[in-house]
Amino acid sequence: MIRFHIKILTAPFLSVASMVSGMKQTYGQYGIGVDLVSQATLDIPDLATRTVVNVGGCSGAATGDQAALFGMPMAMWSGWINLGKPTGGFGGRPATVSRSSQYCNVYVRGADNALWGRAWDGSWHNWQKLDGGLVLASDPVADSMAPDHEHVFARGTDGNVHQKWWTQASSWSSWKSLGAPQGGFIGAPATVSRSSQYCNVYVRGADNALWGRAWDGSWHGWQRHDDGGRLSAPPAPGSMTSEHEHIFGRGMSGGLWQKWWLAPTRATEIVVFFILGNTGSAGSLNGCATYPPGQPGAVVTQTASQWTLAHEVGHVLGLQHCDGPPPNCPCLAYGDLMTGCGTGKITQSPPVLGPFEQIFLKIFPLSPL
Amino acid sequence: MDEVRQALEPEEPNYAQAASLGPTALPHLAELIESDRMLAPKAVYLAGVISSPDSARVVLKGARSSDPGVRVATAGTARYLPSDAASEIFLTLLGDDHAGVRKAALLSIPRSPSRDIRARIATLAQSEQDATLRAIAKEAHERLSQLQ
Repeated sequence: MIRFHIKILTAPFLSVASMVSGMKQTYGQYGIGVDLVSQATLDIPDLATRTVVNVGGCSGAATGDQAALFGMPMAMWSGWINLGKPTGGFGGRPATVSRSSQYCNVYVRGADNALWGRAWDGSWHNWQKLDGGLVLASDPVADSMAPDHEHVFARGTDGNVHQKWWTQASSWSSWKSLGAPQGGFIGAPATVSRSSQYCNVYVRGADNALWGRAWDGSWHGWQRHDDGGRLSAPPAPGSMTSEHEHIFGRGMSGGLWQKWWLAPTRATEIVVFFILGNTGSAGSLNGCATYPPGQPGAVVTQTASQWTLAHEVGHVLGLQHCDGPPPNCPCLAYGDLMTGCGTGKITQSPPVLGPFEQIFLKIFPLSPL
Repeated sequence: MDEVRQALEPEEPNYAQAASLGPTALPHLAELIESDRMLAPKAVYLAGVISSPDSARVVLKGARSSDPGVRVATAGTARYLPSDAASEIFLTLLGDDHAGVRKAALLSIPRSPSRDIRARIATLAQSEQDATLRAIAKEAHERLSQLQ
């Protein structure tokens, strides 16, 4: 099973869906499943600059500028900006969430123990009291599961976790109780959503164990992590991919501990970036693998053909061109995916993989077979 | 035209080999830049690596394309042009509306750029609004200053 992620910085001229479909057809005819784990149109700071990457040669040892795509060559902090406080002030620590690059919300537990928020959508709006009848007994925590969604969790005076959510369509819900683990919990809840389909709430139980409650369309019951771990503070969960979560906690002796969760099935995972174009010594390309250098990834540019995605993934899996450059194109004649003469000229639908290519896929270290 | 298309159609064209098509390919490349959005970026890039007095005129078409992908490719190839022609193109692209094009230009400037390009980069190092590009411009300015 080839498992891969797509990150779209610039949409190609031909649809991504057709490329993914083409890839599934091509590899599927040899019993190789293709699983698109995630597809995201990125909305990140300085997006336009990230759509152009620098690459060298594209023969499995491409040089690249990963920092220019997902990092700053030089980190730059602003100075502190005063955002004021709600009427009467607030206690504890603020919570923040940005459901997209265009919105940011900050939430606090007001001095009146109500939930207050301040919103940014290009400029900061005034503090607003988000009443709803809950008297907060902890600092709030906030997260988002989609560009049109936010939710806030807090402890109520009844000792339960309470949730309030917002969507573009329905605005704010009323507070909903999620109960509490057996015996109760200490401090504030914490939350993480690794994708739009999952949400987890974690607390430090009254027994100092980690407890969690999961949502995957509906809420499941509180579960205790029976691993011997004991917390001396509320946990801090996070997620690095749609199939990953980790939790950090302060142990009883004051040290920082971490545990993580991975999706149960992992074979190979490849990341493909859809970009505007590239610079570098290789010249203008339809695609290049591997990118980032030495990693199981590839870039596909705006001018890709329907089969470029599958072709570049083939390179990531260790396949080389079977012919080319033009006019030396014997593989193109029978529609081999790995032709070096241009997948846009392949008429076989789907393209094929030659016998040696099929064998190679079985022995290459990244092979899904 | 068939030979030109054949050279540009691979996912990763061999531009060194394609350059051997020579100046007779330039009119076809000019046509592709304006008529074939899938091949246009590669066409403008090839125009730059073909060593001919007419290359600059064709590459300039790429700098004026409405497609930012073509303008990115133009930035990548302009450094192969004679200094005066390259300078005109780079000065245009360093002021492009698209941040990705400006980035491509900053990453592709020749090793010994013209005085005008140096001055523009010095200005961008101070005034470029995009923080990423401002950092790249600063780095380029410092590198060029050491070479003087």
